[in-house]
Amino acid sequence: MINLTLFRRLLRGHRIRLAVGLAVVVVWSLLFPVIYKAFQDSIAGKPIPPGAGNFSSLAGTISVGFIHPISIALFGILSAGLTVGALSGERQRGTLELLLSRPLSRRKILLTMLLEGLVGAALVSLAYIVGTVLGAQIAGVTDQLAFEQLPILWVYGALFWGMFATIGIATSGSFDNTAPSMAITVSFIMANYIIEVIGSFWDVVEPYRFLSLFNHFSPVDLLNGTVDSSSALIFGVVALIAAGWALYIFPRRDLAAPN
Amino acid sequence: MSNSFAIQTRALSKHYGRTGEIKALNAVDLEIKEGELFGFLGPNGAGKSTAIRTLLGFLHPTAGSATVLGLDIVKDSVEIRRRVGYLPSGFAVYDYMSGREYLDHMRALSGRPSLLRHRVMEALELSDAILKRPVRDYSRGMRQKIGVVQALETDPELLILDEPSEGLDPLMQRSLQELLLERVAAGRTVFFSSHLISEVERICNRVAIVRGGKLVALETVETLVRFQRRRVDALVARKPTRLTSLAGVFSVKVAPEGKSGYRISCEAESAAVPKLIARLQTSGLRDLLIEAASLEEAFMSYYGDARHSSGAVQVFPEVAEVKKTLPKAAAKRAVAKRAPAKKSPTKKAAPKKSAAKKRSSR
Repeated sequence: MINLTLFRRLLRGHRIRLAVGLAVVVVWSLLFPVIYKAFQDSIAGKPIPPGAGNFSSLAGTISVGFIHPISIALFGILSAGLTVGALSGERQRGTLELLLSRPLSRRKILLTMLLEGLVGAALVSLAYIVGTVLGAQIAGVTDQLAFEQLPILWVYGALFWGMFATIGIATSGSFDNTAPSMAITVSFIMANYIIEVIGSFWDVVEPYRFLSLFNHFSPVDLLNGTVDSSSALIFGVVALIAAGWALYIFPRRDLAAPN
Repeated sequence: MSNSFAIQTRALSKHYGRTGEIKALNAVDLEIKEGELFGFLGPNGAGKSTAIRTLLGFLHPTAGSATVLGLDIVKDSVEIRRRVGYLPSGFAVYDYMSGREYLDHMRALSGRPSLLRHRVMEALELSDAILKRPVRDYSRGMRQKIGVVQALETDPELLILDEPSEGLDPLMQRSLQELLLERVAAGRTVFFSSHLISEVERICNRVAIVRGGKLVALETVETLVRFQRRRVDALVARKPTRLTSLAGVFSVKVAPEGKSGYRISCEAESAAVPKLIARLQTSGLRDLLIEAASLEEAFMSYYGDARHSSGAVQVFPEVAEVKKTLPKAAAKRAVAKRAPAKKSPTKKAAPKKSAAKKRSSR
């Protein structure tokens, strides 16, 4: 199914991006329990101000961090960002030639590159949770953290961003250079995010929020143990469609000599 | 050389465009025997790389079929690549790796042991110190050497090399040629494309010339050269008559040369040379130089001569004529008899005291 030699080389090629990115995610995510504690201290003994929303609970604050635009960028770079340039980037640089001259089927190459994206999604989701736990320790709010729910949050986070990594490999296998695959993947993520955000305050768009994949990813519900497992099914189906397309189109493409 | 084929194509075609109007490869029939060193010639865009990429499964043929080492290029692509060493044109590497890491990585992906790395490194003057440096610091030629090493080091049964001399200096080109000859001597097959006609002429058993996606010539180097027109330069005492009426004699130019007579220059097919000499002798032949044909001239005749644009596989006219009328073995003998030997392509019928002009077509 996959080639370990190629997988190790892919990880090695992205090691700096992964190391720096994961470190940034840990630091970024540990801020949210600290912000939560600071907020709670500032309103101690007072009624919760209107608009405080998710910041009224630790689970809500962590959830805000999980879908914050900066988090979206970080998660995207470390999951879909690994796959979107995987095949098209090798093609653009001319290195796919030699890779394909080895006894590896195109499907095996594609699945190995997809695995790297899935590992990236799993690691970035784990880094966020590690940062959250560290932040809770620093802020002294570990008693409010639902530790038993963290594994399910990790699984859903990995699945959610793994889905975008799969879309990344599907676009990557469809083009000869990275620009169009990057544009399509980023546009897809942005469109989903914008529908969700705009739909949260604009009645006209609100009925269409269910179309956004972000609408089905609710860290606060996961932390509160009220998750609807159909969202996992949705992420899985979207990922399977993307993977199916990639496995169909890439082996059938003509790979002419690079310019 | 074995009788089984390392590469065999049957009407192999690759067309592009919505209606297949761009014929990058058009009904190519090719048979390369195991143990052959086969040259593939043609300018940019002629279809060389398309043919190679189709054989390796990078491109899907529009029509026709092909086998590599007896395996179907569509069904058995992975197995073919297990047994083939490949060097693409414009070879690219992972810049963050050192030369050694790159070679180790490519060898590991091939799943075969490295048998010839040290021999190839030695021939191409690649030291361990060089291999420790990051590939991004390598010159163009150095990268090409790494490409040659990765293609040859596992001692594959078949080497497919697309412009292997690209970026190498003349000394290294010669070393590479020696390496390829070594592999062929060890029973391996080499199929390579090149712009360097002299390289192909020097080391190849047979050569194919492609033009516009079609195979326009497929012969041994010797045959291609043998049937190429000779350039004739003669000095005669009297102005010759009716030279242009001789069959197989072209581009005749006659110019007076002081008191010594007339300078004749023309091109002649090999079969016409004896009659031409006889005609010149009747005009008082004083000096004669017949230049050896080169593969480059044969190649250029296909690209400079519209007569060959029909695209069908063409052997030279004399060969085609003999092959049509005689059984295979008899045709071979007849062709050999009609053609002058390659080793003595220059005929001199000049008086003893005349000084031969030295020219080089290469």
